[in-house]
Amino acid sequence: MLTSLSLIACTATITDGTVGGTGGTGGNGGGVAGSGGGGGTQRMDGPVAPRFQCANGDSAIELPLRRLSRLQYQNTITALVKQFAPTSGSAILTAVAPIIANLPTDAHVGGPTAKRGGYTRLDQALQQQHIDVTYQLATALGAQFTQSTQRLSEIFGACATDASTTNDAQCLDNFVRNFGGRAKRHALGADDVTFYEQPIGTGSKVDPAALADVVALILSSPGMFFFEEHGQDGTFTGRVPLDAYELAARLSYNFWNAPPDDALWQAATAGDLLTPAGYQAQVDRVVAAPPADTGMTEFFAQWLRLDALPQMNALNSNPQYAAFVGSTVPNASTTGAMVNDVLSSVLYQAHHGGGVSELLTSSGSFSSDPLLAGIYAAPASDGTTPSAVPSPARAGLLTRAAMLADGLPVTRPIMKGMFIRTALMCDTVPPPPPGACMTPPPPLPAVSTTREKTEALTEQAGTVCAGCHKNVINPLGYITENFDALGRERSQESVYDPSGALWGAKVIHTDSVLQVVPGDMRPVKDAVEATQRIDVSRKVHSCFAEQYFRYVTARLDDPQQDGCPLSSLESAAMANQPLAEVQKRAATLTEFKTRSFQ
Amino acid sequence: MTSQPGVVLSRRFFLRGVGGATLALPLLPSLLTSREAAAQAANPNNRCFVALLTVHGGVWAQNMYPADASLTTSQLYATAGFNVRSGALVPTLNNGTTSVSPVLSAPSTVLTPALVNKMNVLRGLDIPYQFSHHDGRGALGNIVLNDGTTSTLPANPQRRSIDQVMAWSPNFYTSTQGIRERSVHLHTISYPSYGYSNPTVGASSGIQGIGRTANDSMQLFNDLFPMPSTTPTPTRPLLVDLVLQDYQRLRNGSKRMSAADKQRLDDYMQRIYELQRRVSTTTAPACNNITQPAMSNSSISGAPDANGSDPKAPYDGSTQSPALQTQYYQLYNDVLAAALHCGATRVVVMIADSLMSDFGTVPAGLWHDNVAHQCDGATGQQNMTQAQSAFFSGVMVDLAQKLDAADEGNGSTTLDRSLVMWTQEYGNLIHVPYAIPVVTFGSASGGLKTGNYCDYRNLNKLKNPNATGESKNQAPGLTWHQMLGTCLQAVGVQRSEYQESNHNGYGVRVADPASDWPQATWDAAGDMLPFLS
Repeated sequence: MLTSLSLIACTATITDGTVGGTGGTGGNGGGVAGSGGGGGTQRMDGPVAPRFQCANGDSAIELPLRRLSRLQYQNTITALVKQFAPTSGSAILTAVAPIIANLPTDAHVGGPTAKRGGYTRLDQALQQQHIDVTYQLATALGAQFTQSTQRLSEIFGACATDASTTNDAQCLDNFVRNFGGRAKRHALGADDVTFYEQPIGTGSKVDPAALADVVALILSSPGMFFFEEHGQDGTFTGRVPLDAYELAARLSYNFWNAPPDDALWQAATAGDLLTPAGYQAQVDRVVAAPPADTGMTEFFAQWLRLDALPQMNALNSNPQYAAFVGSTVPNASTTGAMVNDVLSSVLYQAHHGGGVSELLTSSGSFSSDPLLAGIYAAPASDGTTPSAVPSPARAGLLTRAAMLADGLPVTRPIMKGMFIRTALMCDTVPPPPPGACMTPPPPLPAVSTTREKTEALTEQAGTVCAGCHKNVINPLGYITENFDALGRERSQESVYDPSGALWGAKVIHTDSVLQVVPGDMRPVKDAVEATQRIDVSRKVHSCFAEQYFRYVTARLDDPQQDGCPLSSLESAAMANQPLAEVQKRAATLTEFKTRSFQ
Repeated sequence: MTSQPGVVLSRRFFLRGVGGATLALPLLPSLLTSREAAAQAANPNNRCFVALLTVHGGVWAQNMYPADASLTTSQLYATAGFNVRSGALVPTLNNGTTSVSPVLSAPSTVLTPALVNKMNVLRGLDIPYQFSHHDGRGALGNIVLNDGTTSTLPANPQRRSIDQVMAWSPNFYTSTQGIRERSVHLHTISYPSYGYSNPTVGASSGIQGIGRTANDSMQLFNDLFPMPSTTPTPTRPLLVDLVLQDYQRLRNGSKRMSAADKQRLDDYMQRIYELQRRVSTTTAPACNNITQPAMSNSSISGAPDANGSDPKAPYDGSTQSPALQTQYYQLYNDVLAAALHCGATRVVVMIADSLMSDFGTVPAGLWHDNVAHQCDGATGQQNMTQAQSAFFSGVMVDLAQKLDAADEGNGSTTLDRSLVMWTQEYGNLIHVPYAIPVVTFGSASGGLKTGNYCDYRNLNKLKNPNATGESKNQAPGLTWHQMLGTCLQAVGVQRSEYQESNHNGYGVRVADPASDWPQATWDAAGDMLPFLS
């Protein structure tokens, strides 16, 4: 499948305020064709041209029989157990927790711009362990549901344990319709009810062992593991509108990673979701509801690769690291605090009408963690209201601790630069060329800054490394070198030997030529200017739109065939519409509400 | 239903190798009755394959291989059109350490001369284009899946990894009776194994990564050695049969579905068939009486959290611990040795992917910059050599000796019917695809000759003959495709099961620059590697 490539030429030329999207050279670093924008002449002091155009109408691409992610499946099990076993649910979930832990992990799947990142939703591979573990879990839950008279009565109703046998058949029917419907996220037909009652055979309708098999059979059904969608009844040309239950599931799983709640279920049952007003009302409610925070934070955690942030305390007893951190000794909570600071910032903007620009440029601390608050020199936050950060050098997202810290005694400008270039701006950088290890760096004084070492290692004239590292990767990492590897502000870099002895310190420099837009050779002095330059370009906004499209559709995009939905999201994002509005727009895309069966 | 996966009831013993101890499998031979042992010995179709992988590499030739002087034989490999060399592996014993090279060293109590005689060291096998990083993804056959680029990729270049060819080969698994897992996969982040989405359909179903079989050694044990059921078979229909029916009624019903939707259902049903096969098959008797191990390697690595994170590195939170790292894999080895011996599986792929640095003392975060990319410096090379050697000694040799201690009852050992191979991500320089080292143990029931050091480089094509460093050794040789095909043939897979239309080796033909791997090397790609057959 094609993806929206924004391949960066690793050498660029100054063209008096504009750069032509004419492609790079094949010289040092293996530069390749492309530009940072949609081709053609590109402005450098304003937004780049949109990358996506709506030319081909509705997308014809459809992910076939999408499965639930691990998180979605787990949330579904939890919701079902709590709904049908409100009293004993916690004990049941505790009993099956070891099996749930064995559910296969979803891999992060990304496109060419996210070789090390991506979204777990996009892992649609079917593993043998999926059926092995879900089958084992289903049978275990069946056994748990029928473990005692009390549970039978609680879950299946008093009719399952009373002395009467005349109500047993109706008792079973009711359970299968209710439990089966919620498990499969769709009202069951009579044929379904008959099928799922098969384990009963000719025996007692309330035989615990048989009921356990009924539960296990329902939980092993296709509609439980997959998003089973058939569309509305009738004849349609092209994409088929989803029915009300299917819409309810799309909304809840996309925004909540969980099954429909009672209100959505009722809206589906009543048919309200099939009216424009009824659908919009549910979209507004779902996006604003507290569970939507889980979808928002999952997306941003994976886009910003926060789940890959190392443990800051892992090297506490390493002498060099211990000397580096000094009295700011990280603890087991530090990494989580850094992640939460970013995600709380995301949620704050989502709840308060902020867009990508506000996310990029807002520097308030959301940390209640004393160590992180100390790094920011800010009062502790309650996690929902930002505390003012006094330093003007804190430029926003790029200077939040999670974007700077690496758990090491030194910063990693290359990694920081690659992250901004590829993950945040959706540019693609060519892979390392052959012989990347063939040219040893020239000797440097022991007291050299990380920037100087990086320049010596990767920016030597005439080497295969210099093209990309000097022009498009490293500068984006240098602009935050006034923050150390724990996110503390600094004006000079202290250099320690492996034993922790201080070798010396040297003044750092952050001035760089970023080429946010290739060929833009205007320098920036620090992260504040860099953030402004990046914000103005709207490249992160455009990238957000593409990434969110992937998250919503659980697939990589095709810039041609998906041009219309991508363009719709991109226009909203580049106009800096609130994050919540971009979410809602995703839910109103034709591709969200309909399905192709071609 | 005769058994429930994952449940432990009664298992009589389990071998102990915890903590790098050198205990063998003292009780395993007693598991087999004389009739079972005789049957096993007479069965030519029970070969095993184990692939062990480490990422990065860039170990200099002088540290990775025996001395050049040991290459005592040079002969023209006529098909490829150049001379190749070989010699017997001759270990040196010094201060309790047996060495074939600095990396290929281990305590003499473990790496005995007899074990060295069951070993091969192969040099001069190339992934024939620049691939940047494959992180293990390309090692076993899907060589185009990497971060690199080439202008010569053909259409539909992805291929199954060879472990999946074996797992679904009727010539490898002539019977799946007693087989709990066709293949076992142990990794954290990288996916080294790729198979058809639906193996019974084939290439048209697409290629996908194969997820890990278990998150830790205890889960693996419970999967491979399920508790024999003590409950009577219920009179109701087997649940798994009803589950399958549920999928079939959707697949074949009248509800609106696309052809691709139905293909996905078919793919999933194939996995239900596999589950159905297992729940209705009788576990091999030798697998029924194995005692649960005393500890899981999750206790030293940290199990995945509630959100299913990847297993964490075996790391004590304060200092690097190569000993813990080794123990982590040895606990896997204990389970794998028993499973291979008793026939619970016959294919294993295990990769030390994100955890490679923990075999050394340089912290993980510094590994890439300070070791992997400082490989041309003495300190970086020393660290890389030390770490790769720790893997060889602590993991590969540990598994080999455990398999070699498992008596098959016919004078041979489980190792003798196995092919255990280890390879790294790169050749002798980082990001260089020439001469990616391969080390093997076992002859796969005579499928391979052993005891050899082979050098398949074409010395007429040295890339930098006047260089002074490691780059002076760089020269293209034979293809990775030929190595993979050799593994397949050694374990009994027929060449007709995998050969390509434009060469007879395994995997898509890619050569960049083409002059490094001319037509003659592709003509040779279907052969067993010289000196080994």
